[in-house]
Amino acid sequence: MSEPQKRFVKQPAGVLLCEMPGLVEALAAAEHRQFITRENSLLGLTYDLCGERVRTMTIADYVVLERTQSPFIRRVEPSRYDVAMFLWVMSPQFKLWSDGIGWRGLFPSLEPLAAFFHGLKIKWKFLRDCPKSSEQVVLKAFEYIDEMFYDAPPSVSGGGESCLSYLTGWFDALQSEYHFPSEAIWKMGLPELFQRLNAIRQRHNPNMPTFNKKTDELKMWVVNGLREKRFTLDELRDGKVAFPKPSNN
Amino acid sequence: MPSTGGNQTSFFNDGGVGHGAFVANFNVAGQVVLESFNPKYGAKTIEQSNQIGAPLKQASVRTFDTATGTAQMPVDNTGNTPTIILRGDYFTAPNAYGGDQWYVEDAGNAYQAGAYWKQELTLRKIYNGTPPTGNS
Repeated sequence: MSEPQKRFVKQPAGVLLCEMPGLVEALAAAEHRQFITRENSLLGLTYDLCGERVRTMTIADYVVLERTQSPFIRRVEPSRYDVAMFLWVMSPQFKLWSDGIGWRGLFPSLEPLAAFFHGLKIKWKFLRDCPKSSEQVVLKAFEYIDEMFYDAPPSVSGGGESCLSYLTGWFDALQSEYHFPSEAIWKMGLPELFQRLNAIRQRHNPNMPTFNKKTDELKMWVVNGLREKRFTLDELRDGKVAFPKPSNN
Repeated sequence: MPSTGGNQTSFFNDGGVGHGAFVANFNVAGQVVLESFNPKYGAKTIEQSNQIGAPLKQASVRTFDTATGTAQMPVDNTGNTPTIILRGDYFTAPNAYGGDQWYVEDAGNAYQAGAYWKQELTLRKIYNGTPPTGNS
């Protein structure tokens, strides 16, 4: 006869998040912020970075920034040149030049001149006393990047190596499902691309977890607070904990 | 025939659960947010029909309860080392879900998006209070 198994310790019952006063409201505020972020990203808006307008980042823009090893993509500290370059590449003016819209199409050789004057303006506005003078615009630029990558697809632990370019993966997924021409995909904003990729994945694999960074951030804050003993479950249940407001990016 | 089943757990949720998410105290993994918890209360039905298949009688008995859930895993300060939930770990559900104990039958892959990690779990209700045979 085998040895009887030891009885185990019953764990304290879980506590519903909706039983924690203030948390439902905080989650609702985070959800609203999430809603606005996602809606904005599909409207093709321009964004204001300390008075400089930038476009919604497209796949083509991303490739340019990636090829030029932009610190804004790699999340490292940018130099003066990087700030000026980023603001030029993401400006509405750059797109007009690169698409040859209107009179710009007749004088493409003037584009370096336009870039030069744009650079002078940026230097005058933000780069005179670096890093102090550029701090705000750099922070805003990183917030903008966070918004562009808000719905970037999750990775899976233990996933195998891929033999495909990331671009092939994006184009293949979109063209298999939506039959878009390649040109339309190059011009697609990254937020739209990521939301479409998430929609495709949910359709094919409904059991895969979904990510909502603003509400996830709040839930993570609760769990980390409990694990680091900053507060207890009883304090959460008694409404003695003030929850953080959702961040803007 | 009267029901001979044991304690019944809720077959109905009146919506008071709100988001449905809760903080679960796992035995090994510690405190984790289970952001969805979908119990399936198992039942088997014996049916008797007449000669042409019309219903005459039936009796339903309970079978094993199972559940699925999504865990948002805690992450250390680096954002890269999550607490992975292992097979065999267990917790007690809130009273709104019957207050039963559940163990992890299958822990799926861990997914990461930025600083956040999630894992799909398949759970089974614990009936007689004996522990699972260890985590793996």
